Amino acid sequence: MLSFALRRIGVGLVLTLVMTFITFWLLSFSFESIVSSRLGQAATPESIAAVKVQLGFDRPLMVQYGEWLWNVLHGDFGVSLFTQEPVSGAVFARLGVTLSVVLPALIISTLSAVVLGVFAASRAGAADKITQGIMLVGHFVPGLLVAIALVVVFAVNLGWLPATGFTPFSEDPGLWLASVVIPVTVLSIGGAANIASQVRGSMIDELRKDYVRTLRTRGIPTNSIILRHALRNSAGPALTVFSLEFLAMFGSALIIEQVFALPGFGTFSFNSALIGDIPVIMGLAVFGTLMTITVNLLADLGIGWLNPKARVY
Amino acid sequence: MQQNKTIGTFSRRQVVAGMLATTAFALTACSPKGGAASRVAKKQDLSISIMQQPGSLDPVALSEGSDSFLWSSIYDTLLLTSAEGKIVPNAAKSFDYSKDGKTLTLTLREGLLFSNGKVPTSKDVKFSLERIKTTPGPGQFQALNIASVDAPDDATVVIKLTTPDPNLLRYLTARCGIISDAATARDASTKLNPVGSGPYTLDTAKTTAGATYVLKRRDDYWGAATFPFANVTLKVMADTTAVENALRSGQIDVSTIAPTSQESFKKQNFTFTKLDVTSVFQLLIADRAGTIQPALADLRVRKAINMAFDRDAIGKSALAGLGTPTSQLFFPFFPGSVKKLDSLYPHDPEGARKLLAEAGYANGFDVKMPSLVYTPTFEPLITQALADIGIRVTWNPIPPQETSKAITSASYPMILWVDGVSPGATIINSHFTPKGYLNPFHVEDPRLAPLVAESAITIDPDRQAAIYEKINTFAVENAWDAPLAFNGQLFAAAPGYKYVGTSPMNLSSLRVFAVAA
Repeated sequence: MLSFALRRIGVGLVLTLVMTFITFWLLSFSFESIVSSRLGQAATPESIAAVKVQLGFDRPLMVQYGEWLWNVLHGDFGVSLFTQEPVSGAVFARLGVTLSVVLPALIISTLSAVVLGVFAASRAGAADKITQGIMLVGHFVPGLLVAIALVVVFAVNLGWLPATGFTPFSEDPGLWLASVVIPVTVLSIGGAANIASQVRGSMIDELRKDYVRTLRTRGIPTNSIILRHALRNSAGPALTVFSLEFLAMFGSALIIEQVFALPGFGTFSFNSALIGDIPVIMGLAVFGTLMTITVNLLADLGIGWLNPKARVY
Repeated sequence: MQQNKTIGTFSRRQVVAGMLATTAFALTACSPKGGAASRVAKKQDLSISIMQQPGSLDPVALSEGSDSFLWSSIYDTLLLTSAEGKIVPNAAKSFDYSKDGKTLTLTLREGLLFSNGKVPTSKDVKFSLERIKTTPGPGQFQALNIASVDAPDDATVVIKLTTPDPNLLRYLTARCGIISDAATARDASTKLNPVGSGPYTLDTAKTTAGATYVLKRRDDYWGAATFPFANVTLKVMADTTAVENALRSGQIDVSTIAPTSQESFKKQNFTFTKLDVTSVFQLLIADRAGTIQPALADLRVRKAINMAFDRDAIGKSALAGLGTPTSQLFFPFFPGSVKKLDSLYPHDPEGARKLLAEAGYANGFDVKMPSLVYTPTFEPLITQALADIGIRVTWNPIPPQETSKAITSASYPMILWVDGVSPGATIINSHFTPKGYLNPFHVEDPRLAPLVAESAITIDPDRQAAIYEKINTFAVENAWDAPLAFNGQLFAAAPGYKYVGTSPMNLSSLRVFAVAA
């Protein structure tokens, strides 16, 4: 397992290197536009050329990329072209906000998905149909609509929860909880529906297998068969969806962050791309790629741990 | 059956009880934040929203717009735009032009103090002006005509110009007029937490970059009495729905709102202020010499374009009732505006089609326009109005960071554009000079050029107004562009607060907020 993990980490690092170079190469086509936008109405050929020299954009691409890479290897991701914030600190701060929403949402989604999926698969009949109906609603109700409705009820009318903003856990756990309740609820609805469908399908497959019939004939309680055997064996596909859902939630967090004015990873990425903040975009490319690789690796290790037959190492 | 009544090792009742307990904890932890109640307690504080994270606070890199809320609170400027929009003394207690308009003498007021305890002198002003002039950046053009800056004594600043500059006083109310501390301005800390002589300092302990910026009033500021709020919080909110929800729930105290939301805010006893003109919505006919679209060189075609639009309907619907129809670019409260020009081109698609036919374009023509970050909402309206007279528009999507390049590249004969409120000299400079930012095809006209040249060196207000009016009249009568409507803004203030700004020149200053009686 260790050699598998090391191999995957090695491949991941190469992938990160390739990703960052492609990102930098693509950005290089916009260097002049970025400088021009930064100067606004003061942009003249002379001022654009001067700022390009000031920022080092006049040098060969490989020299610029090599310098960036060297600095990154020494822990220096540079500073934002626009705000002058150190990139690594800014990315970690935004990552913390998004994880504060995504992780609880993922946990709630997973727990409710397991309950719904197992319930639907083991009961079948009307219970299954009702549960599938709930999943369909979760799939198709737009998160944005739910978000707006919850804000109107709980923030504007009742005043129980803040309509916008984020309080770090370290500052005030109570206010932190208040600031993430609605965003987490909104993200959990779609996430639970996606994972529950997968759990239900896998559980139905498992419950039809011969070993389940054998266990039943030996008098093992149904509850034990479902939770100790079938659920464990069906967890592989669900875990794959779980890892994809984690990454999808990061993607969809942008909308939630905009609606709730959360200073998270999605908004930061979006705004940085809009203004062409090259050091920040490069930093986000590194962290985004590493996060994807880590989540996929953990999912593979988790699947192997749950079901030795499914091990890819 | 047993499995029907248990989930794992817990009974169903235990699970339900657990869920209820968790919900109860969540709700009790979330203490009520009702708007009105909490507002009474924090009357000394003000919270407002800003559209985007402010950029660097280094004076040579400052952006205007909503960033100004932050930097205009930290830095003092030599001059000031009053709530009524007039240029008045500020850190400079007086200012005086020489007769030839090439020397401006300013006298600094007593009582100025940097946040590090040092007293600003004319040497700091000299340093600041020279630095902005020699450092490439968004504000560099404002110091373009400055030849030299002298500091004969600690309180006197003498600015010598290469040519009279009608814009200079206005620039000295903005980033060009900032007094930096010469000893610390080049420090890295200037970009994030600078030394300034303004009414507030940044409370870095309570500030979260990208989310919340907290300003703390300086009691040692010479004009502290004009700033009623001891603490001001700027919250970054890009989404208008989030802004209105924050306003309703008491997280912010004053904001612009959509007119359609006004009724619901009335129920919460908000007060409202409407500024009728804060920008001008226009169709730039950039290729008026017909370089890439020959049709646009014909005055009849440009007039037809102007006649294609129902400006009343645009003001009422597309601009949500905040639009005032116009055919001119000059703002009504600045010299150069000519009232009768507002209605020079009534909506007349039939007449427009006739003009196009007379010009040899009975079958219309095709035109390519850039689809910019703010244009998609208006694109169907523009496409339809022009299609009605036979002009077929294709919109090319432009990534936001390419906006500036798209405008200046001379690739688009027409551009949908919004000018923020600007005095006549700025409009002339950007639209009508050959090197103007909004004149990408560098079009000149022998009838206009002498007027533009004279306006650039005239500082006598009466003479200046007369020249501006001639330029404006020429531009409208020759349909150089197709201005459509002035756009306004509606402000809503929560009980206990009021919006006191009366001029759009002061939109991003804390001076426009006050405590309600």
